[in-house]
Formats: sequence, C-alpha cells, structure tokens
Amino acid sequence: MGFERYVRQMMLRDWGEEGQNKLKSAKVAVIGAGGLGSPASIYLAVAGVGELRVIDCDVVELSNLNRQILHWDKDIGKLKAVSAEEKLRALNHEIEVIGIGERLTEENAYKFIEGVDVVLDCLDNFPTRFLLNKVCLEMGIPLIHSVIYGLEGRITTIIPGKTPCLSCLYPEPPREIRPFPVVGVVPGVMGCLEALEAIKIIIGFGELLLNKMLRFDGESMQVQVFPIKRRENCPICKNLIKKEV
Amino acid sequence: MAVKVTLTGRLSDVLGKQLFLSSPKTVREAIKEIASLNEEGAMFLLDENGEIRDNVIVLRNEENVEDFDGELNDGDELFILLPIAGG
Repeated sequence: MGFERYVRQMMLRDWGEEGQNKLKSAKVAVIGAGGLGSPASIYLAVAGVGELRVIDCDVVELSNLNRQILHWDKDIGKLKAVSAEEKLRALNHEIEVIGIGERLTEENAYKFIEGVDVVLDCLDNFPTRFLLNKVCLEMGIPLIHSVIYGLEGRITTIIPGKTPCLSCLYPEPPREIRPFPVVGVVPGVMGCLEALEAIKIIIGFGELLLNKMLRFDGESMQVQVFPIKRRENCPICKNLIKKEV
Repeated sequence: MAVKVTLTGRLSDVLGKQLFLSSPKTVREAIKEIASLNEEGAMFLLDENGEIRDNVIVLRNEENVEDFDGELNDGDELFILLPIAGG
C-alpha cells in the first residue's frame, strides 16, 4: 500500500515516511464513541493509525446527533461501537477498526486496552474515567483525558509516573450534571486535540500537554494553559506498579 | 479592592460567568463568599465541613493556587474550575 493518501501530512517536518510507518504500526483505544470520540477517532483513522479500538456500550439516540458525528439518523438504535466501526472503515479501508460494544469494567478493561500505544478518554462520566485512569497507570499506557461542558473543554495528557493522574486532579468523585449542556463544536474541537496529542505521542514530535491542562472557552474564544501537579499522597499513582496481563 | 472571578461549569449556570468581589482578603474567603450566594453552588465548592473541596481547581492570574490563604491583591483575577464530566 502506498502513502499517497497521507502525502500532505508527510510533508511536515518530523513526520515523513518514518512517522507514517509509526502511525501504521500503532494501536489506539478510543473509549467512548460520542461527542469527543467521534472526531477523535475520525481524525486518527484518516491519519492512518494502524489499529483503532472503539469501545462504547451505548446505542445511538436522536439527541446524540447534534455532536456525535460518527452516527447518523439511520443509526438510531444501533450500538455506537458498530456504527463507529462502519463509518471509520468506510473512511479508511487501509486500517483495522475494532468496535467493542461493551461497558468498560474492572474485569474487561485490561484485555481491551492490552497492547495499545495510547488511550483516549472520550467518556462522559467520572466512575469509568477513574477506572480507565487506574488501568492505564497500571499498564503504563499514556492516557489523553478530555472533558467538556457547555462551551468549555479541557484536556491534559497523562503519562504514568510522570504527570498528574486523574485522581491527583480530582481526589474525590465530582458531582456530575446529567444531562449536561453541549454544543457539538466544543467536543469537536476537544476531540481533535485529543487525536493530535495521540499522533504526537506515536510519532514522537512536538510538545505534549504534560503537567499542564489546556482549557478552551468557546464563549470568549480564550485558550488557557496552566500547570497541574501530582499529589504526593495520591492513592492511585503514588505507588505505580505495572500490572502484567 | 476588587477581584474579578470567572466561574465555570454548573457554577456559571447558576451564578453567571463573572463576578466582582469587593472585599475578600484571601482565595478561601472569595470561595466562601461565592458559596454563600447560592445553595447549589455551595455544594460544588464546599464539603460537609464547609471546607473547599479537593477537586476544585482555582487559578489566580493564570497560575494554579496551592495556598488558599494567600493574600489577594486589587485587580487579581480568579478562575474557579469545577470538575466537568461531559464527553
């Protein structure tokens, strides 16, 4: 298979054929195929990431369609993982796409993300995020975390043992608002940033959002980047031990 | 003295996006003053003992606040970042 599909991105300094081959060999897990997961997985697919695992147990509902661009009217009632797999395969037949229509649990999480290079947190709730955080820390896998609410989005990249983990940032489970307000372009922006962070990790170029959080405010069009720190007493990441699967 | 406060998440829904506080001496005082404005907002900001929740991130002039008892100055800007969870 040639590289014609990717030739414009390969023109970038630090990318080239070597970078494209790294992407082709890479495996990425996208956890959640909703507002964040749709744009994130689309851009990873068209960039040529070799294997995408898209994990989501929900089915498509009409109220998802203002933002979850992988899913269309005809998909209502279908598992999002199935709908995502169909669209991503159609976007780029050169890559492997695996849709997994199961809820992420303590029992299956290690198996689902085993062997991936990067995990994208595209979830919509903190209990599953905390589980994903713990599993990624134990398996030594970089986790790109993003959240949105209304016109605001936040993103940071978690490297096990080197940066704050989710439990450093949120030592107690946050109070959640459901359903939350959202304009589709905001998870669109943030999902794209997640995909970009993943590509940079895989190819190995650029500056990552390590030990810092980027906050996007779509109302004022302000972007802030501020430092974040590990908690010395964080019960989750203070004694990191890589778990063998 | 005036301190400009930008609220995020659910707090901005119930209290508006920006407030100006005239008298807080510290970040802790500012947060408690904001909490006093709205019962729902207070639940996000303070725990059952009236202390600032661990998961509230506060920026003062774009820097992460570690000492909530640090003295505020006229013209300071605070960002109160409540955890948000959507995806």
